[in-house]
Amino acid sequence: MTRKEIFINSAFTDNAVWKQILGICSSLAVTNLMMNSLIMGLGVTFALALSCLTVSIIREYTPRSVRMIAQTLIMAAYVIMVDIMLKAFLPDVSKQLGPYVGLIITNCILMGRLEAFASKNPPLDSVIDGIGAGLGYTMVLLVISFVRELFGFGTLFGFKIFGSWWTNWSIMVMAPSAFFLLALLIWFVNNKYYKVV
Amino acid sequence: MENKTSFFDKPVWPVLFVLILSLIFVGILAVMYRASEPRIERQQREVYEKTILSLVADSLASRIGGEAAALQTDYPNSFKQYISLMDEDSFARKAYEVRFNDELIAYVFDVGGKGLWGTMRALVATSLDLQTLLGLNVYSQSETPGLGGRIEEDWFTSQFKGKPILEKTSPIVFVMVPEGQEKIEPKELRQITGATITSRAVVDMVRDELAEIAKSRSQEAK
Repeated sequence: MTRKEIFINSAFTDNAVWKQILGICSSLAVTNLMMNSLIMGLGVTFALALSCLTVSIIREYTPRSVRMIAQTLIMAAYVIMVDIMLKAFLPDVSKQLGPYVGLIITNCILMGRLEAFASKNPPLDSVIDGIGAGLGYTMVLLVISFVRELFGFGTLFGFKIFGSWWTNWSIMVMAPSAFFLLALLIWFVNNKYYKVV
Repeated sequence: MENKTSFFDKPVWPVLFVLILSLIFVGILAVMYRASEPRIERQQREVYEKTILSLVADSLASRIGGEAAALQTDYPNSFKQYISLMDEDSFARKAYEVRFNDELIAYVFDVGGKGLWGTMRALVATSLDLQTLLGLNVYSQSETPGLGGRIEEDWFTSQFKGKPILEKTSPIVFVMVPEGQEKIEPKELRQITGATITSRAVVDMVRDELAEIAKSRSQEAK
């Protein structure tokens, strides 16, 4: 596979959310505002790319018996770095995301990419794969949060879109709407692009 | 015959590997954490003190004869000049006193209570007799974002401004009215649609904490 194919593959064809059904928990939790989704997506992309790089570099020396421990350790370290940086430089965003940044560690996308790709492939390919998976995930978050924020608050990225005539749909702010929208998205994409003949 | 197994195949290698990896990453994290700690602390204190200032800005501005917004822009100086932390034993909790020209004009209390999902903390500014609220700001909560989480929003907290909250030392009972209601009686408060429990919890927290403060003060006076 060329590097372009690796990227396309991990971002679209094998998209973490709609194809692998990973990272669902955070897709439901942080998608009520587009800003939160964007920051969360970038946080995952950043942590994932760096973890992929590290795991790939040390893959020759990693004993099979402790590879999971090593991967979790590396992931956790990068996620905590993201958390510290958000706290120090973007305190408002950090407050809004609350515990979700820390929960990137348990995001299956990271573990999945590290185990399935980075631990078997050279560093540069792994980074591209990581960035692809991260951006694919970000894209899904943004699509869901676009609908939720628009109908739930009448805003996009905090800017007013609908005037005062608009009545906010409380359901869009609450968890159920995320389930509906995510399910609809997965159904739509799978029906359109992955049809089993 | 010489044993040709490489060092990486020996049983001790996995142990060493994890040890080395942990040391490296824990080291990096420790350095990062230490380096950003003062910055994070400073920011948190700044937000906290600015909140206190905003609660009493109107009362202060009317005495000084300036504008409330001017106090905010003059932040570190205006805070030091007018507001000071009180002794722990004066109210048995974190409390600030607001002074203008050595005249005491208001108290600000750091209060806490139970919300729907967890504890919440708020800053409450009151008049000297503790009977009237001057301002309220919920600065820490874990309520549902978009529903209960809206207790941080301005339209909700600003309605507490100027409300009588106690009669002597017993808390006033408020009637909760819908969010959009325009006209509002002194003993009514607008509650957040879809967050009845959280809205109530904020009111209860403020009332109960202030009643307790007032009671302990009246006992001391006796």
